[in-house]
Amino acid sequence: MTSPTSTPSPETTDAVQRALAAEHAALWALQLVTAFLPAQESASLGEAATAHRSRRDATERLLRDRGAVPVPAEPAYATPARVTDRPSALALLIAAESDAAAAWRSVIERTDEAAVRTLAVDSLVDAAVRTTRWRRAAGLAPLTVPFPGAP
Amino acid sequence: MEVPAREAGAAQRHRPGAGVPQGTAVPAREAGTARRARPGAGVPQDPGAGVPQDPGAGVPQDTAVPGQPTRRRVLAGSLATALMAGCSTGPDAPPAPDPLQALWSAALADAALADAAAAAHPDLAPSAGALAADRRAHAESIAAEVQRATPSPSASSTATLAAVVVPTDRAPAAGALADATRAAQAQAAALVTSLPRYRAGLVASVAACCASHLAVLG
Repeated sequence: MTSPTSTPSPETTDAVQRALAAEHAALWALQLVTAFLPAQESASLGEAATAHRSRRDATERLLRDRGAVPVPAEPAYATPARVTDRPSALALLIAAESDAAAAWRSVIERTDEAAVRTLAVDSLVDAAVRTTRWRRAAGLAPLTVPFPGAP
Repeated sequence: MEVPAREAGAAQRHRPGAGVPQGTAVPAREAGTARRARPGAGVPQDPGAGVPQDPGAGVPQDTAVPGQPTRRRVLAGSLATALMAGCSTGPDAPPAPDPLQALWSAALADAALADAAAAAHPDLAPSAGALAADRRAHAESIAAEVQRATPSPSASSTATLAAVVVPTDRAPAAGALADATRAAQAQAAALVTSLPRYRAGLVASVAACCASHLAVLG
């Protein structure tokens, strides 16, 4: 694998920016659903938020190191459905994690840089695991997909 | 935020015959296992799933003509031949095997183990059955990629693997599944930085899937 050069690949940078946008959206979703999930799920929410914040920060650092300005979070995001109760809250979390998984897999397919791929696969794995946990909490089947993040 | 691509994923996991080559090179322990999916069992086709998005690659689609060797059969033979050939040494040794071949055989072995665990321990059946289905899907996509990279017209092999042994007690059986899945995740993740882009994405998703199953298996 090649290491970053003085002219980072725009293709890689663009893909990482989209992954950062997905991380912003996931954090927004976690904040939104708090009111609709019972207290016993607050620990899971907290863990997820901590993990996404860590990814967001690492991704922003990566982009700055490449000379790019990290995309900011949007004030709000369109949701697949209105969030009004626990099932719709869990559905939003599942959608957010699936989006993050797709964005990170896309990064892997748009870079030859080992460090970027490592961040991306770690993020993809975590998003897939959280997707499965939220699906289990929602009582959905199947709990897994064979290729998380695949187009 | 986009509408979730859940439907596509759900369709993928029900692909018929996923990862089970129909030829003689199928590991012996595959034979007779329960839950073996059949090609064409009334499930909609899933064109493109797991197939490299490589315009011009010209990979032919599987065709299920009875009595005709399908691409899977040909592939199973060529993979097994390559695996066996990999054991030989000397000046005439063939090129190094495809780095994905170990992933392919691990996926098939895990599927067989999960099937056997599901049969032996009914309360493990939901999680083990899902694991078997996903690992078969992995085997099929990996096999398709190996075949795309190194098409081989020959298909003859008598390769067999040892029979699957599932612990008779539930806890060790569940532990064996978790151990195999953990190893599979590590095996796939270790390849992410060294492979070409499409392959790196494929094995990254395999690692993520295995991690998801670990969350279920505990």
